[in-house]
Amino acid sequence: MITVESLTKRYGRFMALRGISFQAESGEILGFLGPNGAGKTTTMRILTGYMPPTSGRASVAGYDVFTDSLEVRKRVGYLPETVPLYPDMTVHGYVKYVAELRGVPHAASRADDVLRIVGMHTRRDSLIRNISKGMRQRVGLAQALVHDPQVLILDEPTIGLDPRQTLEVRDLVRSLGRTHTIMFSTHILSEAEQVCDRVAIIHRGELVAIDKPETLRDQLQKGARLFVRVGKAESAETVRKTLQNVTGVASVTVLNDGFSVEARRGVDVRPRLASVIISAGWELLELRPLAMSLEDIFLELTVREGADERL
Amino acid sequence: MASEQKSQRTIILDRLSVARWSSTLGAVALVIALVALLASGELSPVVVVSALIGMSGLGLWMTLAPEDFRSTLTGRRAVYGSNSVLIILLFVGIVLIVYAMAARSGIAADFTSRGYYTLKANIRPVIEQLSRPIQITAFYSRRLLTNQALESPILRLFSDAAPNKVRLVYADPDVQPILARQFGLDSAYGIFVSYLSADGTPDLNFTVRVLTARDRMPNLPLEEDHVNERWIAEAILQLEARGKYRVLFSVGNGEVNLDSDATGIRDGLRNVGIQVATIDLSREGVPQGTTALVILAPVRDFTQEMADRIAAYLGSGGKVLIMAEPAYRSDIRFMQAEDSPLAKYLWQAWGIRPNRDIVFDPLSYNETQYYVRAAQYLEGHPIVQKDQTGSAARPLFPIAQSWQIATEPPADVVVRRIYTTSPEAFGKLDLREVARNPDRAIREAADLPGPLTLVAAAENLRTQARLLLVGDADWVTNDLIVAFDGQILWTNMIDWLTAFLERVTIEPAFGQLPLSVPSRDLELTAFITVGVLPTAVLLVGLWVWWRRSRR
Amino acid sequence: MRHIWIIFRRELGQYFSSPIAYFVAFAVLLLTGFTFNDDLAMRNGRAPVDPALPLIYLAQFSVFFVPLLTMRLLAEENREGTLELLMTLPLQDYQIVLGKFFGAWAYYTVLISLTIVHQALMLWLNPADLGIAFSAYLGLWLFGGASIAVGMFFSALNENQIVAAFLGMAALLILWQADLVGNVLNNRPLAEFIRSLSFQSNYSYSFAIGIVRFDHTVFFLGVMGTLLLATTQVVQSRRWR
Repeated sequence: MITVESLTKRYGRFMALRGISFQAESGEILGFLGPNGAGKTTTMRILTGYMPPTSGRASVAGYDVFTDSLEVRKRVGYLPETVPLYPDMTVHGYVKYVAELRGVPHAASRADDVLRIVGMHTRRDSLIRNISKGMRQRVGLAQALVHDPQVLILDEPTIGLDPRQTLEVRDLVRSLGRTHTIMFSTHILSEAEQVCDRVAIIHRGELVAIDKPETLRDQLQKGARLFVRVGKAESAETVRKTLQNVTGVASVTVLNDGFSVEARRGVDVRPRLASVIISAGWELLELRPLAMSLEDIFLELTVREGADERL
Repeated sequence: MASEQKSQRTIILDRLSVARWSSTLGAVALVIALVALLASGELSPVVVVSALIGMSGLGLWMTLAPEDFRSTLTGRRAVYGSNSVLIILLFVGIVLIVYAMAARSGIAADFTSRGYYTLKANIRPVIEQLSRPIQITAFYSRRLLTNQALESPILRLFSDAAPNKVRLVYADPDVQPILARQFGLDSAYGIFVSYLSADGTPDLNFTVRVLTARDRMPNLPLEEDHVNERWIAEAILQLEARGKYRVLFSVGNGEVNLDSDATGIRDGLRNVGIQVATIDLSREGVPQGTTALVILAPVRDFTQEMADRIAAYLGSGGKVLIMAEPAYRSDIRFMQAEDSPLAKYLWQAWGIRPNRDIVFDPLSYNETQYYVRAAQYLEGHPIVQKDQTGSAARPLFPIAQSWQIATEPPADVVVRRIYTTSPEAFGKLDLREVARNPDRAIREAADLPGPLTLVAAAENLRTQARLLLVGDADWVTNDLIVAFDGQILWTNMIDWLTAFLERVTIEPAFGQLPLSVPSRDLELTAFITVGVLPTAVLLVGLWVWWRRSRR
Repeated sequence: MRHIWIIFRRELGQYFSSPIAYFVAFAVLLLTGFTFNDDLAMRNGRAPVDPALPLIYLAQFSVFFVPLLTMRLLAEENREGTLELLMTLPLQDYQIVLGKFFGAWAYYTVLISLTIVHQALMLWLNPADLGIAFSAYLGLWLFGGASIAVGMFFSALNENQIVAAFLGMAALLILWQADLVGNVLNNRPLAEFIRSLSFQSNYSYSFAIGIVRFDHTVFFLGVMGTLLLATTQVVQSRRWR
């Protein structure tokens, strides 16, 4: 449904995209993960025909975004990063306006339908300037859904929402994902994990990884740090030395209530750690991966590729 | 990549940035060169220098960074950008062509209810039946471009009415000083009407200057000077009248001398293209082709033979102007005798005869009691009209006699009293009495009672003959004609006799009455337009804001 | 056509729902009212009223208030991010530009038609030539359309509304005053050419004196067309820049 081939984008001397390629199948939810400034918004703007790539090609539903922009735009629903709202319009008036411009039949009742879907129906006659940020986000989502598009491109749809609203939006995206192709950007790893069929990670204009979230996580966490708590041990130092000698362990740090074990890349040391601890007669109280922050993953991925610091 | 980063941080000028800067500099210099060229219209040093800078800047770009140059010219931005510019330029070109065609076509809709921008129905045939092609040369200096724009729709009325007969040419007296001098123009503004000679240039011997508003109101600032349709048409008619109108002045009987005392009126006639000649009626009759005969206060009376010659001329539809002085000197005998042949003819054929008096009007004393200022006039008659506003000329007649008009005029004759005295005036019939007491004039029973007719105009509807009688001739002499509307009256009289301008009668352009309302009405207007209307808009705005703020 | 109509409707509604538009109308009416009454008082007892007069004032004020009406048209959308929405909807760029243009023009039409009150009062005071009034209104309407197209062009060029308004005012002031170019420029053909581009010479000395000339009508329509085309190109340039 979405095909991107070695896309680059240059703003003056700044390279925002350095040639990324990926594909999204029909009915797939593709997460787009990366920190701010990674090139997520730029990619999405190119895919929606708002700006052209410097080089490379992208197509949506078989239409080239540059040469067949109008056909692409008919098939895409887009929620930009800054929600495009007219503060002086009412919620319903705004969604109806977009619906009319989209050529949706029975625009007014369709607007009501999508407002019901995003849970904004009770505020349909409020002025947009008077509603909260989360509500605005949902009105923006309603706008993107109003013509029931084949492809939905959502740029950080959960940003600024409270936890309950975030969950609602995630559920909504998941339910839409059965019938639509959705491309959805976020900088929250867990969100991508929960919602997406596949996750593309981009960093500084380059695609670092693209795969199913579980695979990605496993792949990452094989080389990740583990938290180990041991009971009935003589001293922390003994435990540290013992663990240090386990094959595949790179380093062990003593923490207040346990140990942080850093494994070598690509090696799952958990079974061996468990057996060593048990055989030493200690109690294994806890063995869990230390939560990896997004920054850790990027650090991980970029170091693994051996890329030097650019710009 | 690394070198790029370095140059960005330390601002070291590398090849590429030098090339780009020089290309920008070059483009700016080329634009300056173009603007300077257009503004000065010549290859001034500024133009040459900036063009050189511009070309070397672009050249430097090409040599230092040929790749960048090539990709700039062939990249997507260059292709789409130049496409955009070309589309806009193409559109501007089409608009300019349509504009030029529209300007050439002169299509315009006149929305004024008076039809101010439509050629009047009585002027159109004059233009369409011009005997020779003419050129209207309109001079406007640079400072008067606005005046030119304002007047061009009026000037175009003429050239659009008969494009093959009327050519409209604009000129700048500062740019073409020789041409302006040829036309005798010494100011920033002037409009001339000329016949075209065989080689297509205006014939300066057949050129008439259009009288402008400043000729009528000398105090008008140059910026407010203007012409109108009527004045241009008058100038064209004057041109057409060249050599066709012939006015004869009677001589040989002690008339006012045209070559010493009344050169002003002679030259005035010649200036508008009317031929002026003299005739001695005692020797010959009025020849064919004479437009009008003028008899300026002879001293000796006309014989029967001369009277018959005037009668024959009038009988054939001639036009005659007779001015007769009262016999305040004993040698003045013109029509003073009861049996004067001319006086008898006038009474029989036209129902008018001289009263043989001297008029005093207590209401119009001016310097001496012999000076009579016309008190009443026939409103609307072309002879009395002073200007377009419809006010009347008020001439002064120094020592005048009056005319008696028959209560029953002869058949086909219409007589009108053009100027009369006030009702308090009286005509002294006893001229010896006046001569004895020149400083004292008292109304007596024997005097003729006012109002007395000073100027009478008669017309024979069957023969089209016209006769104009004035009880004084001094007012046309060089000393007096410049005062008291004398020139206007003289011009009007000749125009009426010769029908010179009668073909051009146009409703006055400034016909609307001035605003004249009590200040109460103005206060109400101010209240509505400054108070009610804006406040209402503001209130509606506040209401909308209040309603919306609650949603 | 339908798209233009939808955008037009929203733009016009926007004017009537925003207090700024009412305030602009208030200020313009107040200014026109002052000059109008001043002029009436001057004419009283001396000269007849001129039905084109309040309209010439309005044309002069247009130089300053039209950019205030047009500054937000595209600059605001650009700044608020709503242009991103419009440009990713299946619309042609010219439809966006035309819809907005007609919306602003319709508001302008409503604004100038409020001066019918002035005309009615003049008719009551000193009946004048209604034909001149009609052609002056027609001219003012075209004049406003051209001014709006100029203002809108600068709104498209610029993300900052204030800068857009300022540039629009400067451009319109030059276009209005170009009439006097003959006083400063030595090259007469160029001076005449520039002068023929001036808004004043195409309005005050034709429409406002009761004559509707084909070439002057073409001028205003041409200015509108050219600038709308240029505006469309500027908007469209985002797609290939």
